[in-house]
Amino acid sequence: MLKSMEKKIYAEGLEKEFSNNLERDVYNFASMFHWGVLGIEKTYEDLRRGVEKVIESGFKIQAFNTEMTLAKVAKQMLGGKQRIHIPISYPLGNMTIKKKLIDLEYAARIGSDESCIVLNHSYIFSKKYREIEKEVQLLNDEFGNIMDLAFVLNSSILSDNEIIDSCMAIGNGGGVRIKLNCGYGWGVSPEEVRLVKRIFGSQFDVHPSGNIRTLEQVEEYLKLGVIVLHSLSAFDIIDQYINKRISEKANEEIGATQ
Amino acid sequence: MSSTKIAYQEIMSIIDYACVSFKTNETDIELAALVAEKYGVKTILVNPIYVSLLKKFCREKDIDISVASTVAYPIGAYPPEIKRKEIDELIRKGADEIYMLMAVGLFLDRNYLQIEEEMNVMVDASKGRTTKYIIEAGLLDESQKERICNMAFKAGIDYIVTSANFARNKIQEPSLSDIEALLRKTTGKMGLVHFCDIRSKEQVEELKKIGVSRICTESVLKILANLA
Repeated sequence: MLKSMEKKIYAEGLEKEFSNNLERDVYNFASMFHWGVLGIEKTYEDLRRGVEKVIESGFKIQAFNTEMTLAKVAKQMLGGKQRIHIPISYPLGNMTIKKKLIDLEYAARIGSDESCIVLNHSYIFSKKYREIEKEVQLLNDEFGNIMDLAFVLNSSILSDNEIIDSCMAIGNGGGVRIKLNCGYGWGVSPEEVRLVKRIFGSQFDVHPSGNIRTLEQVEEYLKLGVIVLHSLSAFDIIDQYINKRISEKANEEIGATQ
Repeated sequence: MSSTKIAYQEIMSIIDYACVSFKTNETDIELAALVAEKYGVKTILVNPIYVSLLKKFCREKDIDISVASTVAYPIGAYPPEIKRKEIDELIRKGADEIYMLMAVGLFLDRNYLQIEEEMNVMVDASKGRTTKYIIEAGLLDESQKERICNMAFKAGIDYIVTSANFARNKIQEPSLSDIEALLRKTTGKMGLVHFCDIRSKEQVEELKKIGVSRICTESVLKILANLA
């Protein structure tokens, strides 16, 4: 049981059964999140602090995201206890397919468990969806059995039709995971997730990313059937979840005694 | 030659025309080539996916410009072996100049061996083509600027580039004093390219006056409108 959670539960005088259930639920909640150390200027010290944060939390998150230059060290620091995720062709997607293959080959070699690849958005803007399909198919054929691959659409800059047509191309290429937005100031909205879910149902595992900062936002995505999210505010959101659950239980008990 | 034409040529002759926005499409690239030819721009910078297209278009239209392309852009956090493979591919596609972004985090970590390695890789893999090494000058103090310039000069790099000019990296833009500091360290050894948004021809003239060798910018049409 996390010390912080334990303290709060003790302070509220809540029963043991609740605390056991909460612990289980919090670990499950935390396991949905991607979190990590990303950015052009990130150093080993930034990585060390990030890894320390994850280890101290006690959670097993969905995956620890980091840059290619830091990934090998991140894997060692985490002792294999967290999955490693390397983003590819970020954030513009305008790298050649050969470059994306080179990056994925390196990522696989250093033991990355998963990756997300930004698709070539100039193809989307030029409506060359067959090229998107070919890109997805090639990447999937080469590395889909080695790593979990998610294909990234910067949906906040695409029209609804572009989102739908791109998703169709991803599906035709064999892709099953779609990450909506790559961050870098491009943040997802529930409307984008709702659109994909409405048109494609459960065909895709949709991963929202960018600008996700509150528990309310996460709950909205959970209602849409999302089970994986990317958020640099993951630990704050987990805290919000713990506080909410404890406060709801405490209020329930006060209500019962009155 | 009219004075207006001289003005265009004087300004445009030091411009590297950057066409690296994520929204850039094939038509934009072709238009850039036509603009470059008409107004005396000598270099166009494109993302790797457009190198072949631009080379082919220039051949067909008999346009004599240098095609530059980006390596590890705009994140830079790739190991030297991957940067080498990127450069190899760009050379095969016909790139004439290489803009490569430094692994900024590694430099800030004082991992100078790996920075030296990537610089040597850049020069070696470029096989004599013009090399332009992008740093993020806004992040570096005086001694770091000195060190990176010395390392680049030792490796044989042709130009230092002040920034990746990618706003979404949320990196501090190089100031005028950053540029002047770099000029002190590069003059006589290497060229200096300032990668920035240009808002007026006066800005170009000022940069030229202080000694910047080249300006890399997407704002070519804005400059031309200003000159008109």
